[in-house]
Amino acid sequence: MMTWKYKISAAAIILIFLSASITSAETSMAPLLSAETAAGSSVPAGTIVGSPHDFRGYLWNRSGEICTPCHAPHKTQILPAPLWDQGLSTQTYIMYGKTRPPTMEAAVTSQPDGMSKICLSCHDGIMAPDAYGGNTGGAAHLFDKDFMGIVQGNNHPISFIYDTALSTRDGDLYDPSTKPSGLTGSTRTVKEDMLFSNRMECASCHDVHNVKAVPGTQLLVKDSAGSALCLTCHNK
Amino acid sequence: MKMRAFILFMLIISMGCASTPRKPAVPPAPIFYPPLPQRPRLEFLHSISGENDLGKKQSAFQEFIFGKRRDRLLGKPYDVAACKGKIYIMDRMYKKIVIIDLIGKKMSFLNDHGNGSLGDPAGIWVSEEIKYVADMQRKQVVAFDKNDHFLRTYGSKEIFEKPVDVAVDGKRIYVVDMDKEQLFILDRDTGQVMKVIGEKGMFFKPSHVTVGPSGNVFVTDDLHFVIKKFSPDGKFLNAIGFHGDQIGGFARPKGAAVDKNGRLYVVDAAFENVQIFDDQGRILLFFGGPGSNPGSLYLPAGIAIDDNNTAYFQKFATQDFKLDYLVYVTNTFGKNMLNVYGFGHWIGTSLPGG
Repeated sequence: MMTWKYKISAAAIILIFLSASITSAETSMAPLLSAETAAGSSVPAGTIVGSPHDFRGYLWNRSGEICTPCHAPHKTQILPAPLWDQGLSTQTYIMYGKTRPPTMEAAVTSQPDGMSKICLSCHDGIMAPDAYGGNTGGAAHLFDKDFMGIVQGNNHPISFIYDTALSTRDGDLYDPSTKPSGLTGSTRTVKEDMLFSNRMECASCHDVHNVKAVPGTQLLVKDSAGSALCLTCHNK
Repeated sequence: MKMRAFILFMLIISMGCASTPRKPAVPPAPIFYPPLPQRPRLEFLHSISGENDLGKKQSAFQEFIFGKRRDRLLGKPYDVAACKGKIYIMDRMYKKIVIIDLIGKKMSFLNDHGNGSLGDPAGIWVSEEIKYVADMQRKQVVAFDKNDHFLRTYGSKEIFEKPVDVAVDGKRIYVVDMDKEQLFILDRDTGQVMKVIGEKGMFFKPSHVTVGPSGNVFVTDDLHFVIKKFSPDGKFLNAIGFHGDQIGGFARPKGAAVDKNGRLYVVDAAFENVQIFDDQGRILLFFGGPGSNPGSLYLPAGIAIDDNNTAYFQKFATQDFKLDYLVYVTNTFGKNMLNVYGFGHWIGTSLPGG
C-alpha cells in the first residue's frame, strides 16, 4: 500500500517535471528581433501618407496605390487551373499562412506569426533592412562560438505569448492585463493596446501604418526616450 | 481507498505509456505535388537543417565518452546553389557561406578570409564548380575556385551600389543591383561590364537573377510583382505573372530557377510556395504552402535546381517515383531550413488520369 503511494507520487513528480521542462524549452526557443528596423520617419503621425511605407510617387506604382505593395490585391477574374493540377477547388493563395489547419501551429508558437510574417517578407535584410537578426532556438551558437557576437546582437523575440503567467514566471515583466500601455490618449492596458491574440508581434512596438507613431522614430508606437517603450513591459 | 489508489496508479501508468514516443509502424505517407491519384510531378524528399539531417551517426560509445554531440545548424538560409556532392548555402544569420558536404556528412563555413572575406553576402551561384557570391558591403561579386579558395572579384563600388544576386552562363556573368535597379552583364574572363540593362522605371527593387538552359535570363522584379525575361545579351522578351493573390500571381516574389526543359520556378514569400510556369508563362503547378509540416515552407527565399545529386537523394523518394532532378528551397524561418524536393516520373501502377 505504502509503496503504491510512493510510486504514485514519484510518477506525478516525473510528469510535472516533464511538462515543466517542455514549457521551458518552448519559451527558450523564442526568436530574436533586431533593433535595426525601417528607416526613421520625420513625417508627422496620423497617416501612412508620406511615411516610409508610402510607396506612391515611384514610377512603378502607376495606380498610385498605397496599400497594394504590402497587401496584394484580390483579383476576381476566373483563371484556368494549373495545367498539372486540375483537382484544385481554390483560385487564391493563403497569404502569410494566416489561415492554417489548427493541428499545424500548436508546436511552433515561437515562430513568426502571420502578422509578423507580412513584415519579414520584405524586411529580410536584402529587400528592406533586416528586422530580425536572429533565428529561433538559439541555434546559431551551435555552429561556431566565434559567431556568437554577430548573431546574438540586439534582438527582441516576437510571436510569443505574453500573458499574466509569463510575467509571473519571469518576475521582471509587468502583467500585461493590468499594466496601462501609456500610449498617447489611451487608458487601456498593454494587452489591449499592444498585443495581438496575447502575442507580442512586430506591430506591438512599430506602428507600420504611422497612425500613432512618434515622429522621428522608427515608426515607434511610443517615444523611446528614457527607454520608456522598453519599460512599458519590462519592470526594471 | 485501495481501489481508488489502484485506478489512479493505472491511469498514471497508461498516461506514461501514451506519452512514450514510439516509432510509427508504417512510414509516413509520401508527399506528392499534385497529390495522388493525379500524376505526381514532384515529391518532397527531405529537410536539412543541421548535420544530423545528413545521416551522421554518433555511436553509443562515442556518446558515452564525449557526451551528446551538439548539432551544427543552419541559421537563416537565404540563397542556395549546388555542385556534385555539395550544397552551398548563403546564410544571412552568419553572413557566411555554409558548405553542406553530402558525402562527408558534415557542414562547414567556406573559408573566406583575406582578400576573399565576405562582408554582407546576398546571392550565390555555382557554375563549373566556381562559386560566385554577390556581396552588398563589398559592392562586388567574389569568386571562389573548385577547392573553395578565393579566386578573384568582379566589379567595384564605382560600378555597383547594391549587388544582391548573381547568375553565370558560359562567359557571361549577370548581376542584379537592387539600388541602381539595373541588370549588369560582365565578361567572366576580363571582368569588364559588357552591358547595363534597366532604363529608369524598368525595374523596381529587383532581387534575384537566374539563367535558363537556352541562356535566357530571368530577373525577379520584386515590386513590379513579375519575373522579367531577357535574351542572353539582355534584350527584354516578356514578363511572367501579375500582382495579386490568385494562382499565377505574385505578392512577394523572391528566388527563381529554370529547369532543363525551360520551366520557371518562382518562390513567393507571402504565399510561402513555389509556382512553376511553362516556357509560355502558363502556370503548371504550385507546391509548398504555409506551415511547419514536411514539405511546407516558412518565409522561403532562395531556390536552386540541381542535376548533380539526384542519385544521392533517390533513397528519400517513393519506390514508384523516379527522380529526374532536385529542387532546393530555403526557409528563412521555421524548423525546416532547406527543403529538398525531387522532380520525377511516376513509374508505379497506372493512375486514373493516365
